[in-house]
Amino acid sequence: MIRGVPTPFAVLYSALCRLLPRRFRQRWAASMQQLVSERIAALGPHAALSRRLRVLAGESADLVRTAVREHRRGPDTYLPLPDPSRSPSLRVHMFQDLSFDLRFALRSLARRPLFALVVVLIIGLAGGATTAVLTLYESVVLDPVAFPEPERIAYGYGRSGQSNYVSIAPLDYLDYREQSRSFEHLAAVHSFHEDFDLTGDGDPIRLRGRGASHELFDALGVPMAIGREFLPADEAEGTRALIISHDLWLGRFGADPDILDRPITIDGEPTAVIGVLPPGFRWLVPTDVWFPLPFDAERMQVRRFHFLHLVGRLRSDASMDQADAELDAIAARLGTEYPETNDGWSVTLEPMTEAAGGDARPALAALLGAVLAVLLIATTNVATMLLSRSTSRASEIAVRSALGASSGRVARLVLVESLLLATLGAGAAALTAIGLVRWVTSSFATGLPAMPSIEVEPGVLALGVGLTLLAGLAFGLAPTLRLARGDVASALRRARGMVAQDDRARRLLIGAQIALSTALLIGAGLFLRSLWTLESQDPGFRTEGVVAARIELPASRYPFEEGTARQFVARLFERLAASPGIEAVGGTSMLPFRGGNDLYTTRADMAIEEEGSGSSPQFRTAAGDYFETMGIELLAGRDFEPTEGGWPPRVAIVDEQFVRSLFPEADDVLGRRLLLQVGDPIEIEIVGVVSDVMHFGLERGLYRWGSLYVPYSGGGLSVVMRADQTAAAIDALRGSVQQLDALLPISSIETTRDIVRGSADGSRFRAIVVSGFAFVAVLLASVGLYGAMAYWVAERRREVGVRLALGAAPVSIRRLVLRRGLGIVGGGLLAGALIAWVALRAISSLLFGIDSIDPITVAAVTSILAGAAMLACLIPALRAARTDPATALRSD
Amino acid sequence: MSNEHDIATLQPVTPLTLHVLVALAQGPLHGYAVIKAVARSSEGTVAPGAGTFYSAINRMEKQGLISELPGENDHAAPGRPKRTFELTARGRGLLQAETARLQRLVDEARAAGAMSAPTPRG
Repeated sequence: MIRGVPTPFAVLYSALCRLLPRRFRQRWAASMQQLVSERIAALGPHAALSRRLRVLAGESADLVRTAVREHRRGPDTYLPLPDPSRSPSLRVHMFQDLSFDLRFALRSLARRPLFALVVVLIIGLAGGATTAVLTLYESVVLDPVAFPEPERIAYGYGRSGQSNYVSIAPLDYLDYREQSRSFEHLAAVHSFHEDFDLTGDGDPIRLRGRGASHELFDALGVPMAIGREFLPADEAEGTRALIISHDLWLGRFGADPDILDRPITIDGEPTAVIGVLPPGFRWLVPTDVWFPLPFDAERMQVRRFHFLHLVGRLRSDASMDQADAELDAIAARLGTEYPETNDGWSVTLEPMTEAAGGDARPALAALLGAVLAVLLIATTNVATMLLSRSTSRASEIAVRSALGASSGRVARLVLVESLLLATLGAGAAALTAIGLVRWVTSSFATGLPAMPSIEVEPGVLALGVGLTLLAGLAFGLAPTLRLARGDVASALRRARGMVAQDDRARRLLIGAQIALSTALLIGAGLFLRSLWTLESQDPGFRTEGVVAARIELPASRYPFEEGTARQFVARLFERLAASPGIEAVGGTSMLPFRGGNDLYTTRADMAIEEEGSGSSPQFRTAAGDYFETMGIELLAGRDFEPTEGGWPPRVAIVDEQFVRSLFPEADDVLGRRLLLQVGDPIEIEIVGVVSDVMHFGLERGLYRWGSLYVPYSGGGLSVVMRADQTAAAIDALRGSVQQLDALLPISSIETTRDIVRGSADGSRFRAIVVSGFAFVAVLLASVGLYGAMAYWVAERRREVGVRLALGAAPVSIRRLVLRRGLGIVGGGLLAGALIAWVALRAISSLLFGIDSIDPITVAAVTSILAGAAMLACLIPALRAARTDPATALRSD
Repeated sequence: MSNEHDIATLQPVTPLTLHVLVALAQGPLHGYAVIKAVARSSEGTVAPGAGTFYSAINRMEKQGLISELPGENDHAAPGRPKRTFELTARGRGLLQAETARLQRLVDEARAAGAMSAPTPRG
């Protein structure tokens, strides 16, 4: 054994010595190891480990080359070896050797194609799934943010009462920025996006924009590719300046180097491009343009409006917790200074990486657990299969040895075969991984954060494939090493002796596979149930036959005050209502599930300082027959009149949740007056009450302060139409808009069905994937069980023959086999149920409305596994029962 | 005669073989000492790994160029003999034949002016 290096490495070198021809090894291996020891010792007692290992690595490579050379030469030739530097034919010889081994391996695998196919499929499926999940995990959880030192970037939400992820008011942000000492840069961004029309330079397109304070790109650590960032001077109302994304600069403006010198047309007005972001910059959601926040505008001066999030880069000496505590302290001060608006408000601070990957992380962690379970099952399966194969080859090997093949040579053949299987499996794994990732990212775009563009990276693929190859090698080496040890007779003896301990090992392995499959099946059942529960939630509006599209009416052509927007909408709805097939038409400022916009509202009959006088309902406009189209029931009072549009509004319709939150004691709220806190408070009267609507997805349920609708008066509108032919309705919409105003683009066409379904994407993703894994697991475990039972039966041919000869009925043999199989399964089931019960706690946050493993799921899982087990045992059982006693007793 | 003919079939020898022959020409040595001598005489250009080295030793032994001496025990690893090798007569003969050949080569190179600085042309 080599001295001077850690034991594992010395063991590795000794193991590699096994590659040498036997006689050569017996004669020289010890001297070789001694020589290497002396070489390492010559480096000096204080030589770094890396140096020693480098020497060892070189020696190991030399050892492998020597092994090849010695094998090629054969044991008893005295021919002078051609100088490797002179003759190219050595390489040819090496390849000839390798190609012979490969051909032999291919032939021997071809004789048992099913075995080869199954092993390759198992490795491919398991390895591919592992790689896919690792890719997702790595992109989404470990490295979601491509900014320098992302762990020092904090993302801040507003917090009030039970709402932890709402927004912050602009003046509050300014106070935080001024008073906080924990940040190098503290910026604010809009918590919502705004859309703009880009015209000129091609077809009109809709751009997604977001407002940000001038520190944003400093905080993120992102320098502009071209131009500059915003300056404080840009943060004035009326500034028309944008920073555009790299993709937009490339795609729309052809990477124009003079983009900074010529204005572009946004919403009909010339707007300057002052900067272009670098390629690869990605925000939490896709964003085309950034504009500066006008801090001097009226709506920015009111502490009641919350619509900003914070983005801050921590100072090198500050921690996230310190910053969080500091901001909370400042918030508390603001709470006492401005009690009516700030009492009870503070800040939630999170690392940016969590904000980016946040929602998906627990799900991915659970998936990682599931996929590792499958990998475990798969590798134990492959191990069992290869072990069984090596045992059954013992006699083949014995014959070969008797015919003169050195055991080293035979071992090498087996190794090459295992490597071949592993390589094919790795190829299958790579294809599977790429396909899986592509499928996931295209089908579940809303379930994953948009921030990283997820592709299978060579590094992760190498890791996944590497794991697979390593597993394959390990299973190849194990039988190889067993075979290489010793001569024919002992090999045969060992083959017989292997039966007993292999049996126990096999039973344990299969039992473990069944246990893992059970746990996965139960998990799948829970996720499916959770999905079903989620999807049976009532969002509060129609999900069938309603289609929506977004129209933005730019203020430049539809000035607010003149009511031209209302006129346009009225005319549009007239045309649409007249279109055949359209049963109802309406519009709203923002569809459910498409964002939030709250507005602080107080009761006119209570003083503002009074407790319970105000709340922040979701503020929406309603146009046409919005409620009827959306299937939102009018419970009391009336809908808006066409004449009631215009700003400021005078009337409002609220939902039940609003009534519950602000008028808990009242029976009837019709006629009650409210004050909308927008600058000068606007007084409105409640004229109608409608049924509740969910605003933030199925999982979040009802918004705690409900909804408040006022008549539409201008600005963007989501048109909703009820029709049985949604495509025809959209055509009608396009046609009508085209006739009324050819320059208006229509965007975001979707049905309410899609909207609601999309909200469940995350749950659906989890349910489908875990079910998929469970299916694969059961398949693999069944295959493993089949293999184990077949082997068990084969080993007991003699015993079965004796029984049958003594008069046992075939049915008793069948029962014997089945009982044994079910015994293994039963044990596995119990263990699996236990695992699932423990795991339930960990995944309960991912399940909607489920807190326990219900008996139905257990019953379903048990029957599935029992059924699979029966099937797996069936063929061996039938074969055993049909054993011909005579042949069984004769053979051995 | 047959001896020379035999030896001729072994020529030209590989650099490693030559250096081993040279190293052992001065007397029997054990494995690591041979390698050190080879490293020195080749000025570091011939530095075989353990496998290559013993592969060459194995071959040279089978070709009758060297033989192993019954060795004394290595004090560092009791029970493990230090393998000592010495040149055989045949090995000595090969060494002489090879050095003669190389000497003829060197003379020819010197005559062709390869040993002095190249004269500039044109």
